[in-house]
Amino acid sequence: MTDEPTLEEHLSTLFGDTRAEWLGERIFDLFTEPAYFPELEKRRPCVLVGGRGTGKTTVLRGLSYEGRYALTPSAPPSTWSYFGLYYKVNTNRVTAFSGPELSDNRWARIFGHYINLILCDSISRFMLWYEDTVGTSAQADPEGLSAVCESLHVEPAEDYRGLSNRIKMALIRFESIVNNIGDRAGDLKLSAQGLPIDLLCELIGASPEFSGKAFYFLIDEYESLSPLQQRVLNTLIKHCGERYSFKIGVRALGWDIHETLKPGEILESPADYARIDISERLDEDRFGTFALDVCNNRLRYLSPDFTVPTDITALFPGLSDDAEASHWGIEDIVSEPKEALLESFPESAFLIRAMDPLEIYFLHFWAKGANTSIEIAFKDFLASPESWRTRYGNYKHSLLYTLRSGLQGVRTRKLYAGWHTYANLAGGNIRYLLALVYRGLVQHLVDAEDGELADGVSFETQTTAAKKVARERLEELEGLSADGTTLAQLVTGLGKIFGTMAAQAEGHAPEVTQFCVTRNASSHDVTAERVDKLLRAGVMLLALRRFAGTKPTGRDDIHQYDYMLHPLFSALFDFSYRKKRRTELGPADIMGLIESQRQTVVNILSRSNRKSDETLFGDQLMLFGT
Amino acid sequence: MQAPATYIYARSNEERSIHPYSWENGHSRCRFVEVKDQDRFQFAVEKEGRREEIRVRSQSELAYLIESLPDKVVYIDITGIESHIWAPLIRTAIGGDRSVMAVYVEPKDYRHSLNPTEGRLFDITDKFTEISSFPGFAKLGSVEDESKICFVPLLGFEGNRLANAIEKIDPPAGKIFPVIGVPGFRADFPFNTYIGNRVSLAKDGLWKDVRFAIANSPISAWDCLRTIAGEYPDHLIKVAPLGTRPHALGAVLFALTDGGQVELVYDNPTPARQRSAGTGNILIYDVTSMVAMPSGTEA
Repeated sequence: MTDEPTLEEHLSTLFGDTRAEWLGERIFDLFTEPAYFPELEKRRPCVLVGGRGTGKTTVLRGLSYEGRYALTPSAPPSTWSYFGLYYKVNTNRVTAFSGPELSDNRWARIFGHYINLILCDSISRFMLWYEDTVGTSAQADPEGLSAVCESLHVEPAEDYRGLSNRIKMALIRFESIVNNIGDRAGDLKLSAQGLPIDLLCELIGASPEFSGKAFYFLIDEYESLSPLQQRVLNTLIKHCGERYSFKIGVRALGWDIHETLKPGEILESPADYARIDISERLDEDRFGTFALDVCNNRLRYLSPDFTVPTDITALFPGLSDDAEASHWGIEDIVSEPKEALLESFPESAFLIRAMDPLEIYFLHFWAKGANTSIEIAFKDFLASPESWRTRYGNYKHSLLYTLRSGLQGVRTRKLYAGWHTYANLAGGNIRYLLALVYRGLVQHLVDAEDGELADGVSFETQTTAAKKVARERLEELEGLSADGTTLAQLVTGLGKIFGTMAAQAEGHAPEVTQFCVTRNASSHDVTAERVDKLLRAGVMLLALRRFAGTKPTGRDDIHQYDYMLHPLFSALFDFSYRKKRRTELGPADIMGLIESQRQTVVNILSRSNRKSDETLFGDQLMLFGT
Repeated sequence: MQAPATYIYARSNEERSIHPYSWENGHSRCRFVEVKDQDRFQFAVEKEGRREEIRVRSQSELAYLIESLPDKVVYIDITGIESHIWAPLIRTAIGGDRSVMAVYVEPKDYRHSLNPTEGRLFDITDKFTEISSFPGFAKLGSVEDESKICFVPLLGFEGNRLANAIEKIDPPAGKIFPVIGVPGFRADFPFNTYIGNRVSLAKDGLWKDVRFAIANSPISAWDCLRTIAGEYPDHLIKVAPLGTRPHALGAVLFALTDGGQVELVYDNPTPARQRSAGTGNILIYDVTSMVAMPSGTEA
């Protein structure tokens, strides 16, 4: 019996550990540089905005000195122009810097001192690493070092090792005081905002070896800071000089406060920092390319004992709209309407026989929606073929969601297959993409008789995998925050609405996948406020996506934006992942989807003459045995 | 109870927290001190008709409370007192010369949710807020290596609390060791723990790294934590007491006695009203003796 890892174990290692933080040392082996990386390497402060799984942490770790050393071993650190120092904000630690014992001003100063200690410590540890790695002794001017120690209120040190040790002791004392802040607030000697960092960077920059080089503080999870703490760091960012800069990683909507500690002073883009919104930078095409690189990079690590294509796209074949229609038996579905047309329009028999089956289906679909006959629709088509072709182009993809809508007890109504589809379902989130790939490959090994990956994953298996990942994500949402359960209910309610709209599309605009929140006279402020909070949480936790609306209100409120469910959920509820048309929902509708979902879904759908149909979604629960 | 003694307790909506009222009449040599108005940063006590407010991050105020008690034996009832309050209270009490006993009353049952969802089969917690350290137990030193952290959540029934803690803390892969109370207060309780935490335990194979500690034994929890710390000697051990109070007590004792590499993290839950029913076993833990045990003593 061999102890060699199985193919599934290999896949789990390469694709199953989807979180950067979980990759450990392999994070740098598997690093793929995104398109916006060069911009981060410039001196200007940057704010990298993206949800969990969009690659923020991976990129920041790639910028760190440890990361660069692992990624470019041929380029010695002495040749680098910057040195990245990674710091992840620990939510359970920074919450210690608040409480009724002290005023906000005092807490701001204490937190500022803490940041001075932490960042200076990271610099001194880097200097020790540099000394060990490059082999040169990092000599420090004694007077300069003395000034740094004095500014930090620590005992004098003779070298960077001594400085690191002094800071460690200072942090121990500091911790003891903060834990007893009710008694000992007056014992704290606080350093001036940013001064020790300035002095230390100047000291290092004065040596020839570091002349012209800069430190980049890579602050991850900025959203974990309180508003006051963000103002403290904003102040540092605003006033950072040439010797150091900041690269911030923050979730969408996680950076609420742009003010500094100085009244009226604001951190602005592009004057003070470059904003890099990952979802905007990695649009559909660029994300697809990036995701391809990430996956193919991981495939390379698969043991040669396994026969696997080197290109991940070969494992996830897709199909066109026409091919999918054929898969579902479109020829049989349209045989009767086609016969009816041939009988009524014998002179057009050649044309009718040449039409794609999906086009004929569209005629039938359109006639049903207009409450007329297919013959009348065909006459209209003959009269205006160009406008019909345009109309058909608009509706073509949406037809696929209606092909099986009347069928009971089917497990799959719509296929979600193909690399391009998977990239779209992931919605710019590399973590979701890896989860889809992993689930698809593993499911394929379960389903396939020979347990090999040489053949592609079947369409049905890819669809099953997509539904599973979406379902898991929905379950995760229930636990992610105190609002988690509410968000999961909102996602389910919206999913039912969009899924039903997709299945009952006759007579309606195609691909309704977005919503905006209407303002009406009876909207109470309390409800609107609750909805605002809920939608913001939804965006932050990647349940929803938000876009600038077409009706700007001039205010930053919920009415300013259009929303859609994260594309991942489209696979669970069988609607389109594309950002297309919009419906309107009121604040009461949103809350109703949480508080009385069944009735609210009925009410919303009835406004567009649709009927709620729970059987459309019952299978999703059956699929997972719940 | 040993007498003379002081009994510090708090009343909640749960049946299992009201026993001190009946005891008060039967124990004339025992002084009863009720903790009231508990919030995140302070609480109040009624002592001999006088109300005093105590800040949990003031060691002098906590010490004053304890030292002002004339009795050499102090009982701290952790059933009704919130964990973030009894933890600093116990720390202060064991630092003095008193004999400290912790009291815990098991419930007969927990309240089942009328609208159960994944991760929330019981109505035990109304909501939880930000993750923070226990007051007075914050760790603020630099983390030099983020990969050298072990996360040990002591599980209860509420999977959403575990999911939230993992999301916020983001511990490194392969170093999450959930602890389940086995045996539970009742034979079926461990199954509730698995079911309630199913989503998180199933994800990334966490279920493979589950450890066990007797649900009502602080020593068992403490021992479990020591074992993990021994397996990862140069790691920071982040412990999240999400389950039973006895386990939380074990975590606190671990933090107090096992060196500087322990961090207690807490999600500050707001208990649901009447989240339990009935009264089960009443347990008394001799905290002073526990702390005096040589390290390495088995549970």
